[in-house]
Amino acid sequence: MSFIQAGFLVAIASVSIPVILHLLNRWQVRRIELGTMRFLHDVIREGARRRKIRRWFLLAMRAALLTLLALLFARPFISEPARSDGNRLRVVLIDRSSSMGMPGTSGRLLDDAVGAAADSVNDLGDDATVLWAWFDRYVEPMPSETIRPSAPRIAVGDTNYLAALSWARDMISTEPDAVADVVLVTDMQQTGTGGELTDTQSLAFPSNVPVRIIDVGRPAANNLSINSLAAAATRLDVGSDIVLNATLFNFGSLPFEEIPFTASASNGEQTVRLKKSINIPGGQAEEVALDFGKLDPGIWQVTASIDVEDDLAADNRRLTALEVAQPIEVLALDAGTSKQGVAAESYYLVAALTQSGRESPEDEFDAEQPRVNRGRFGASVVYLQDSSPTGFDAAKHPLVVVVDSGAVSANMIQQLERFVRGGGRLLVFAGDGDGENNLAWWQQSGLAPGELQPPRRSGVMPFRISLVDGRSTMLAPFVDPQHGDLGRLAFNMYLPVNPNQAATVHAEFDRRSAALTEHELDKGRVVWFLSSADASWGNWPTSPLYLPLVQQMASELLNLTGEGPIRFRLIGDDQRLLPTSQTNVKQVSYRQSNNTLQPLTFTQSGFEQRSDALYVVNGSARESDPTRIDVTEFAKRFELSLAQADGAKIIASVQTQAARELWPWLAAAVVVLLIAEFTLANRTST
Amino acid sequence: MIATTSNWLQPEELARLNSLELRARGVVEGFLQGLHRSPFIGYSVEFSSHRRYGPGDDLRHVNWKVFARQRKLYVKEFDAETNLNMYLFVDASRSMQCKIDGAMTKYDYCATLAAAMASLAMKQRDAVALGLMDDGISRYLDPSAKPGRWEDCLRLLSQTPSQPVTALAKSLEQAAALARHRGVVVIFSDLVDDISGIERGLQQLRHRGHETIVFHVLDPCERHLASAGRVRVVDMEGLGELTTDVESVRTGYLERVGRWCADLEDVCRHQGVDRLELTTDIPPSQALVDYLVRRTT
Repeated sequence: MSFIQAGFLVAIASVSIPVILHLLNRWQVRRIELGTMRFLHDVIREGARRRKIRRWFLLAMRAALLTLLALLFARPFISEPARSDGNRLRVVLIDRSSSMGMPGTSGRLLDDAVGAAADSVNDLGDDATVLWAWFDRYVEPMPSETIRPSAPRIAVGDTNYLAALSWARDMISTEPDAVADVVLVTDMQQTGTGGELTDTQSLAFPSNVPVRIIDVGRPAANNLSINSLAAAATRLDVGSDIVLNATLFNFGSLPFEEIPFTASASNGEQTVRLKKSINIPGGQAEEVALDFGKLDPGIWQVTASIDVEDDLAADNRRLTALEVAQPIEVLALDAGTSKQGVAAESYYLVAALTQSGRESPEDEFDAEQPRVNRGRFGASVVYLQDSSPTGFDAAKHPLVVVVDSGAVSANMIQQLERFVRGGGRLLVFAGDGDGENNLAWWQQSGLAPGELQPPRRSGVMPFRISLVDGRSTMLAPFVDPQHGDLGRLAFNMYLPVNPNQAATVHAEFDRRSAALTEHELDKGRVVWFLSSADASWGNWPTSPLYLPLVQQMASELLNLTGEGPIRFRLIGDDQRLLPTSQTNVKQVSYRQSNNTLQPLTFTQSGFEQRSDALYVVNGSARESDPTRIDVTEFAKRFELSLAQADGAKIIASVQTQAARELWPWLAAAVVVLLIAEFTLANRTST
Repeated sequence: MIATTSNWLQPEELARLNSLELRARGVVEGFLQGLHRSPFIGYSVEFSSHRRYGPGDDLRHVNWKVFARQRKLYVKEFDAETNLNMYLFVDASRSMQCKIDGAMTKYDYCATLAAAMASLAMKQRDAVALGLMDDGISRYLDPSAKPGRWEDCLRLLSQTPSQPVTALAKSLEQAAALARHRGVVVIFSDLVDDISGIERGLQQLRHRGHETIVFHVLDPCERHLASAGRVRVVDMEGLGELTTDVESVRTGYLERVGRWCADLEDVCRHQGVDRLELTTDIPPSQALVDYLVRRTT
């Protein structure tokens, strides 16, 4: 029995009042000497026992009356094992990830899951609320009128238990009065638990909500998958051999032998096919090199597949794409002579632009990582002391780099102005050079980002870049200091500028003075870095950030920043936005102006050519790993309260919810006792 | 015929008089004022008046001459005699020391009454005898009409010790033996004893030819049990003590006391004894007047 107003139980202490009165009454005895006591003795002897019983009964009755009054105000209630399904809420989560496409007892694992999920709600009454939802990377709620879901035809997503449980938690939190439980039907794929333990522990799933996990997975899966397929870079030079690397992994315990492996590359006009035979022992990976030889310029779509009958067919094919193109010619204007060698102002700059390296197009594109697309540029230097160019051709050299703005003549600035206005791109580095009036010439040409002032020299403390605009695609890779902290670059001098409204400031020095600007001039664009390109104004050419920053400047002007013309996506990625680590409920579709439903996410693997780029969509390689996690370990990882297999705990929790108040009975008892006490007290006193 | 009761000394006032003599004189004075013109009516040899014959009247007092003339029976009444023997017996047992709701103890009340009656008797030159009863007649003064008799009586009444037990039957038997000459026997007692023993004693007194009067004196509490609350009752004659709620026993007690008084009344009536029930809150003078008026009507 419990009490709504338990504080009133203190009033039970009032039971002592009649007891105290009784005792006081006993103590306050008047003594008299009576001559006729024999009569009194007879009377007392005759009714002594009856009166004694009556007195004690009266005392007990008064004590009980006070106790009942105290209990009445305390409002006791008892919990009755009543079943009220009207307050029941069951959230049923069904895994529809790619791994659920493995064979099950009645078709696929997904079909088994649907059957088990339907059976899991049989113990509920008609008035219980059941929320159905599919989940893979995202959660897709089913319509509220769902009684028995229909298994989807294909399962392609990757598992994310955190997203599913987060959604269930949020649904339950909206019904605080409901007795809720969760049924999770899945194959217990370990890769779906996520990487970081802190992420799973941040779930904060309510401990009073039991979770029943129905494991429909296969105890031992036999799967051979292509985990990755990539070239050294997405943009490769014409004339070089195009080699792609494919990684295969045998997740089963038995070896695969003589497995046909086929790769084809197509640019829409030509198709190049390669065939190999693969032998992979159980539990091991195999790296396969695919040499397509020299390919014509253009974008090539590459498909690799293995012809094998394993448990999971979705990962037997993998796609990628690459661009075969000539390097972009960049013209650097050096004020010195070619005889200076490493002392030339353009030496470091040209080296950085022409640096080539290996690019690893990962499955998950990370916009925050500097994309050093090495090998994209071919740089040539014009030493102004040796020769003087008569003009600039944007078609031949789409980008011109002025290594030292202070060493450029007025004539050269005029030529550059015409070049930019015609659509050329110009990258200018500041420098003191030997010109005196060229600052005014730059401003008159419109190539300057604003009012240029004489160079400023630092004191003991060097100038540092203190502010980076993360919104620009040029400097986005440097926003996170862990990837590249531009604040570590030290400069002895810089060229102060008061930017005009047309100029965009991407970075600033300490004193709120622009460090990197960009502005348009007619058809062309100009980027200024307001310190030197060599080590004369600072030590930054020796910094590891020099190369990626110079590459980003050039790429920005040539529209090569961002993801470029080939973009890699996973099934389930948002079609409009860059994927993030945030887990959301999936929005299934949106409605366009022509009233047709369009999916917001990529739903199947393949190539999709759009106006902005070619999208290469693959399934997540994580789904290929059939390693399972134990239910207990799973519950421990997500800090869940597991329900018993037969659901007894769930039912019991529902049955303890009905509370019946006892105050009407107590009130009736008080009335009866009052009447009895009145009657007995009157009889006792007379 | 009877003066207003305000002239009588109330028991509270009498209780403030330490001297029994003063108390007795106060009662006598009040008694005489109450009687006023009324003579002391008693058994005498001098004719006083006639009254109609009633059952029990002595046929020797019938006026036959009147009967001869009027054919109706009348008996002659006489003025008091002067040579009457008045035996006064006062209960001096422990129970007579009871004083709860009354102004004085039952013994004091009875002693006052006895002294007053002795005084009245002495005024008529009657012989007065006085005996104290507890477990028998412990003290006794023979009948005498000498002038110092009243003082003897006062002295005896004042010095009497109380005995723990009552043997009333034995005392009455001894009283009957001591009262050798026929006279008026007045008994002052609470009569707390075996009724059959009392009846035997009264029977012996009647057998001796005494005119017997019993003043049955009780404390108001003994008669009405008017107290309230929880009390520890101690028996004055050593029967122990007990604690009880008065309210819970009052009905039964009053019922028994009433029955006891009724039994006593029956016994007295059967033995031709006048019984006058008194409580100590009634003025003794009024008690005397009430009794004597009743006797004369």
